[in-house]
Amino acid sequence: MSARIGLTHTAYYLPERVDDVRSWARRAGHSAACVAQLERVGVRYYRDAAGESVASMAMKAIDALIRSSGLSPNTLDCMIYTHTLQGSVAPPPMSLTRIVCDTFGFVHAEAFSFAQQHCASLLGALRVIRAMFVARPALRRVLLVGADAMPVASERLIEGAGLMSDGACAALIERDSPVNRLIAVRTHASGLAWQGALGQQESHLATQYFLSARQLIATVASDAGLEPTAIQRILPHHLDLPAWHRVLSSLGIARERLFTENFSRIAHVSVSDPIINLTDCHSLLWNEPLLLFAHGVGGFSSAALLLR
Amino acid sequence: MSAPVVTAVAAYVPPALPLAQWSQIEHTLNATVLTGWARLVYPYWFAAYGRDLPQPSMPLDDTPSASWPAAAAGIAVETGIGFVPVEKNDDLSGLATDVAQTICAARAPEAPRIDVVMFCHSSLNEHVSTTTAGRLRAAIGEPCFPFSIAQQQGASVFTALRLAKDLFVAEPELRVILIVAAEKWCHPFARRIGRWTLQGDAAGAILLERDSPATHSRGLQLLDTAVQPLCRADAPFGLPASLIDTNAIFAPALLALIDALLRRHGRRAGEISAVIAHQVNRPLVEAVSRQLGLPRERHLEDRRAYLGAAESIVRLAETLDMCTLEHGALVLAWGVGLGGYVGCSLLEACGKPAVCLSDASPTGQ
Repeated sequence: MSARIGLTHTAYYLPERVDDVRSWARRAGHSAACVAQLERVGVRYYRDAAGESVASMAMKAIDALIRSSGLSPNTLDCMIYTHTLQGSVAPPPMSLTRIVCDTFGFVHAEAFSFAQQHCASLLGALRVIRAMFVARPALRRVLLVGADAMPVASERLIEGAGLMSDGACAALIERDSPVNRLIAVRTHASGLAWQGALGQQESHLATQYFLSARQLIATVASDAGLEPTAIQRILPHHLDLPAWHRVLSSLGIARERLFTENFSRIAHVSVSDPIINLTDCHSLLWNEPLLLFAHGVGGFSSAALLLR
Repeated sequence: MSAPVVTAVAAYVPPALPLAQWSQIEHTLNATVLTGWARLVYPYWFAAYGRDLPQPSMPLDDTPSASWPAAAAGIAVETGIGFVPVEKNDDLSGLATDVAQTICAARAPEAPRIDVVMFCHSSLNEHVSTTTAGRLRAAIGEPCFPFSIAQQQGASVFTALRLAKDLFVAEPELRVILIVAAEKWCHPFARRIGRWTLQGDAAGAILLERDSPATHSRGLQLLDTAVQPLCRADAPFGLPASLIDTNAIFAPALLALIDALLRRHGRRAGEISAVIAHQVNRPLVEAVSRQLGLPRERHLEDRRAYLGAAESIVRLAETLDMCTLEHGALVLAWGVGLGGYVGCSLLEACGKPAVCLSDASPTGQ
């Protein structure tokens, strides 16, 4: 079953403070080899929330979306908040979703968090949102929000693949959307590396990530009745740029279709990468398919195919 | 599409401590200096939301000089809570995984695979980078779609039930959904919320299957679920410490939601055979039952601490373990999210789900 829904408006917020990987490595006690590896995978700069809370960042992203979209807060049916880090919510027993809804006057919105797929959570939530639209004919608009801030500098490193940046994003998903229509969404979860920093990063996992990314892109294209080569734009997560080139090469997709203009400038903004890219990419062609992709440490991947 | 069916329920409640004993432990914990990640992060995290770390566990405002046993006795009198289940061995993701595996182990080899796993919780796992949803996926050992639903605390399970119903409608190939809920409270997160409630550790899991001739007679049909936030004007973000004031906010919201759900299905409160209530505190349960006109024997009553997101599933397992529901019996489940949510579900007995209950806690019935 399907519902004609799409991401009609997107916005994001990045904290003002920009830092570079070299000064980060000096402060966090990482080696020159670590810096060289980060630069090799495409990272130069990242954003630092510098103590700003995720609630504040999420609200700034939502505020930007409301201003650009003209959304009437009392017409929102649901808000889903996504994040990677356990601390990117309100501490129990408080509820960040309720704080956000009350702050913006989302008085009729159901609100909850969708998480634990790490950085794939935001795109993973699209599968649930699609189901909600199919099952609930009265549902008109859902606000999908993502935010994370890494409070400990030394923990920003995502071994071998990138550097975690801070920021937030918001996307309005509406029924009968004329733009960015959701054609297909696919998710993959291996359960490997669920232990996060407590576990061992094994080399075979990198191979699995490559294979799952390749498989997921091929499958989501197939769901949409397309060959992978028909995808005109790939909006990637900001991890391991050379691996992206290998994945696209293996699928026969031209490297030029990968959107990388902000890749080295903002690093990996956890769940927000796909929405930041959708907002920043101005070369999207009308009615052409584009792919959003996210990967989460812990063996999670999500891919969404949109029609611009 | 007909409603999905709850075909299996598993629950685990660890051994419980008397409230006075827990209060002494809490006193010691509050004097414990945080280390590592917790020291670096938690004070700033709490401060960003206008809270000091130890605040919820400090002696009650109006009894600052009272001894801890005396303060505990005061809470017990007001809330009716006398025992606190405390898990000493497993972490949060371990509790969740154990009940999920209990359900899986009891399934027939030819049973269809679990397609979706939802994890509901309020408390945090011991390390911030772990993912319980990922661990559940690893434990199940088959491809599935695992994720967590949270920020609604105890009401998360009701949202999970709603989403499960949506997924069954939207994805025709989907056959089985597992909902797991668990809580384990570790320092510096407070078990006690003012004078309103005290939280214990536990885990529960329910298996929902698409309605079919094979599943229909094996469980409880999920008729409908509703969840809604409290109005901010009634309940500001920081919960009031007073039990009477807080109950006065939650009880009318619960009653309105339950009434709306019953009316939507053309049912009356008098038709309800069993109530799966969140035992946040005894006066709240009694107020809701009284207003609905339901006699006490329709719900379980004991002195165990509130089990948060796990409460509904544990209480359902206990009810099914103790009672025989006749075919067609109507079951009402209701609950709250401490951050300001209320939720309820209506279920109808078409058979008895498989039940596996491991409860080591004295309940003081």
